[in-house]
Amino acid sequence: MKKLGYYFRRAWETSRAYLFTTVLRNLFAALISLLDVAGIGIVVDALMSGKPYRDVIFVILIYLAANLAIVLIGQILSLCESRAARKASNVLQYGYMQDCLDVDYHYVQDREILNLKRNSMKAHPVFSLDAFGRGIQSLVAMLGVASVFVFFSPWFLLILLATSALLIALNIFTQSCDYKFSIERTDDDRKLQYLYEVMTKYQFAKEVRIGDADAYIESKYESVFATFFGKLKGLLRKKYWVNVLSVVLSCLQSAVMYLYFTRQVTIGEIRLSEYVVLVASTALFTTSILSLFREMGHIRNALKAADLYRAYEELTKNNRTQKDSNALPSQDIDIRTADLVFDDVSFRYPGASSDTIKHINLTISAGQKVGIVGLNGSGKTTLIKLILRLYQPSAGKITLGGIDISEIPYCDYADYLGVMLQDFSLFAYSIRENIVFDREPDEKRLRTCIEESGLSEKIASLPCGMETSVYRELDDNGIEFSGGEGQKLAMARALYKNAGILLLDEPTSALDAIAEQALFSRLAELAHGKTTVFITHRISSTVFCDRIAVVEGGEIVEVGTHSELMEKHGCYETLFRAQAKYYQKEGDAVL
Amino acid sequence: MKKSGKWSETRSVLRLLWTCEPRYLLTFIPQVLLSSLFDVLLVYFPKLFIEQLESGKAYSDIALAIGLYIAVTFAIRTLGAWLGSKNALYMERFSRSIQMQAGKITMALPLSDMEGAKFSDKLAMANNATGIADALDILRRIFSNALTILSLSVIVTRLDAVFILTVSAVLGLKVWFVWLTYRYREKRRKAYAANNRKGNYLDGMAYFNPGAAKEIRINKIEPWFMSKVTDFREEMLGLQYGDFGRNTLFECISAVIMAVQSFVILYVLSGKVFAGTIGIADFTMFFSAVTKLSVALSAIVSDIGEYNRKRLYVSDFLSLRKQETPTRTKDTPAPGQTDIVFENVSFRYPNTETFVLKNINIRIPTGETLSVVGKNGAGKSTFIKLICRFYRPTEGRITVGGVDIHEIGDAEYNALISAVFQDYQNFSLTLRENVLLGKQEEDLAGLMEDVGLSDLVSRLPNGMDTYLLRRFDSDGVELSGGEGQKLAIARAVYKNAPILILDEPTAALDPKAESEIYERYFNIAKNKTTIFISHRLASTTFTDKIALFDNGEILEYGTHEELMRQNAMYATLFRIQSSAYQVNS
Repeated sequence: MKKLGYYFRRAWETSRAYLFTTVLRNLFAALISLLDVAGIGIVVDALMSGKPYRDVIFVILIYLAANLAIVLIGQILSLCESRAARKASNVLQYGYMQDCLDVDYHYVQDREILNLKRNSMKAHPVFSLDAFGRGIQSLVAMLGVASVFVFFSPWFLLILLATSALLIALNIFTQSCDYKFSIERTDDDRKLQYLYEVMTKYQFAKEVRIGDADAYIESKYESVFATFFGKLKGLLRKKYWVNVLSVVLSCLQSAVMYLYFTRQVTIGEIRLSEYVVLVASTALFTTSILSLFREMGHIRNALKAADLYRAYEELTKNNRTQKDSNALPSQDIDIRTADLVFDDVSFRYPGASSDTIKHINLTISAGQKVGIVGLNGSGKTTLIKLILRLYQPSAGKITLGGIDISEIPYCDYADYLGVMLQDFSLFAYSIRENIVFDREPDEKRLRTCIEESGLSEKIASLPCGMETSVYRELDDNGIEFSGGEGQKLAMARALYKNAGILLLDEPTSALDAIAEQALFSRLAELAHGKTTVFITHRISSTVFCDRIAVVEGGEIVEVGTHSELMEKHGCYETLFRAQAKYYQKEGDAVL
Repeated sequence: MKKSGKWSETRSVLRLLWTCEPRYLLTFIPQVLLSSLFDVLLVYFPKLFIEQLESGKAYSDIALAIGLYIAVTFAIRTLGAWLGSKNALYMERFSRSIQMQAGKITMALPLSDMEGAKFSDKLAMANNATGIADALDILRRIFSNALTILSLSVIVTRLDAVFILTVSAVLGLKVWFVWLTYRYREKRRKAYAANNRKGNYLDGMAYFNPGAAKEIRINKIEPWFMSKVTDFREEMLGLQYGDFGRNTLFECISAVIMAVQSFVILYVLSGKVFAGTIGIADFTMFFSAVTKLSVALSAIVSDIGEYNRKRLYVSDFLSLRKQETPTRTKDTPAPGQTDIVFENVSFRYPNTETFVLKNINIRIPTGETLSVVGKNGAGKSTFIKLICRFYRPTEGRITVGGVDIHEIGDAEYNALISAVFQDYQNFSLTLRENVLLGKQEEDLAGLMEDVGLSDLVSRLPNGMDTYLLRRFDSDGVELSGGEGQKLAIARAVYKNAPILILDEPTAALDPKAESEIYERYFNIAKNKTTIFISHRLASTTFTDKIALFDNGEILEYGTHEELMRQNAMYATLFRIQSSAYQVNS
């Protein structure tokens, strides 16, 4: 009952118009089905009453006119209903998306929350209100017919109820079989779908051909299907016998009905027109009660879903403002002189069993260029995520110009950073929008950034230039960017922002030697006076850095300039030599 | 012309059904017959009862008729349920075998045929095997409705010509109107497709793309992104509101037509009752016959429309079946003789103008290692794709052991080559399956040791039988980029082919793992012809020969020492990359 209260409160708050029109329209629909049953009786009655032809036609006309009027009103109501429903769901879906973009980043990654979000998307009452509507429709139709039977023959009503109850029981049984099977089959379906993708998707095509895997994948597909087919056969056999039982029941029901009403007519209890109405009513009663029951199931699901929605509401209530929960009002930071300091920072991913970052102390002075190097998985990218405030340090703090970054309003803070992520994303809109977005356009700076990132040649070769769409997803004339071109575009985006601090995570991994070299020489100039943090696993890429920090196992093991670190004969030197080895052989001969 | 296409497709799909799943057809035909028989019974029997009641027959006689009716109904419905259950079973098997065939055909196609949006669209349609099943289901409805219409018409035509004409007129009006509505909706569908595409894209970005989630937060572009969402939603609402209005209008007109139809029929029939030509029993029968006729006609019209749409699935599948696989003479090179020779090979991708490879001549003797280096877009990967026979050279030819590779049989050629691609893919199967891919198992422990995966294997709960990813098994594990690449290398090595190709094998690896792989790799690849692609020149110093690609041509060719002495592009590239490592060492 409490659930029902919550459900209707939400529905009421979201769209009164929808709630109102859906109830009304379904009432009309019930009325139409009742009128249809009565109609034929009315006409037969008029014909048999011995009234003159004109009167009969008049009765027919009245009946059809009334019927038409109700149908038309029902249509108008249905129009209002669909509009209200679309509007309500539209507003909701817009809100979901906004919520999704507003929540703190680590919620985006949380698997549990991700699942909850996916499931709750369609859980709002607005998406299940139609089940209530149909339930009302069936209930009213059933009650309408029942009242006719109460008047004519209450005994028969009891028989009807009894057979209907049995039919419903069978129905529930089949439904639960279907439900169980639908859960069972998801596993097999997923497997078959996967194997089909392996057979047909371009991404696997090379691997399948060169690995000679086709026969194997086929046999795998066949064996998964064989198991599935066996299960399906079992289910269908079971369902067939249930089906036979319900056929027996409904045949018995019609037999009783026909025999009983025919008897009534022959002994003169009821008239022929009433007979016709009663026969039609019986059919309507059975279908109504069955559909009422089906809808009850849907309503139960709707209430369950509403619980989910409630959980979603609770969740989003709490995680939207966390980002700025420590923010102090407007901090004045001169970004040109503000040092970025890691003060004993440790970090553990939610749900992880050990720290990814351990007691890091590092000062990145204003205007300095710092390279962070280390092996895969040493924690380099996590450092960037902490600076970006995508995650909060578990211990210690990061300060900018002496102020804890979590105390700076995120909106101001984001302006200090120009970022190029390792897994940057391009959007399927124009190149210009990908760099400028909806900021004030500055043509000169835009051109410079394109130039600096090495994209100008590519853009000049495009017929639509800067207005060309990236990817073909939304625009058939769009272009696909190669890995290297994508990196250049992401770089242009970071540069265009013209922020005081530049964060670059593996910005050249897809570039060839010449492009990389050219970018570095420009970058030294470009990043002049800007604090730059540069992450890479290729040591050669750190040539232009003032200082280099070596990260290993989440700790900073060495910090210094290239020559200092080489002299230390530590981690850095080992890494350096591992890579340099391949260039050493001819090195002396060449230089 | 269009019509004949429609019929030939229907014929083809029925023929397909007959060859793949003949039992489906055996249940299909009786189902059609039964369902229209049932429709006729529902019209005829009530009339019989009323007639007997009217004529004052004895209760026992009527009860006999009722008993007959119930018995026939029971028989038809039980039989129908049985056929339906068999039908569902065979349908499932049929659609799976369609899917399987589509997969089989695709796997046999040359890779060049698989590129392009058109093919993936076609495949997506054929993939929707249920689409074909739906088409068949609709076909069944069309047949049984046609039969119903036919038999009801027989009943109705028992009355005079005036009645038949009036009935045909109102029914014709109705049919015409249903067709009109259908055409309108079909047109609208296209407008929705573009809007849907936008919606799916935005959903994907907002909900399922962590990279975009970061980008949106860092760049503060939420308002920009939401403005795109607003545009999409407004467009969608505009489309839908327009449709709701139009649909309501259609429904209202249809209701008016229905009312007119009922009135006309009732008017004519009551006239006959008054004239004494028919009794009350006939009156109810004719009325319900005409009502049923009208319903069946509307259904058949919209079903034909629907079938035309689903038919696309059928025709896409049929055209997929027509895709030709190349014919080969199946020459084979002598065993142990695997010299790869490019003779004046030029290549451009299908439907493009510019040549990606220009006049390539190179010879890779059996057992030699070759490095292919060059800038991004120099043609390195295309060179590999041609050797793998994914594409046919536009000009010139490639031979292995003196035989044109496009003449060698599929199985024979496959056995010659193994490769690790830059965009390698591991399968969501077990580690063991990923290496074996159906081949006979030998000892894998040594191989896993060689590629550096034995630590991982011993750490996993089910060892080599642990599943990867979660697509196939929900307890699958995820490998890191480096581990994935090592597994791909293990698969290539296990195949034990005389020619081995490695495309940027170290891109995802850090320096330490990189040097490990290089060292391991050169042990594993001993005595094999090996082609190595890289834009990092570090790997090149190991190999027998180096080919420098630039702009689709081989610019320099020779040993590392030779190329350094030439002091041209290779030497320049090498210096740029090594400069960082030279400074202090």
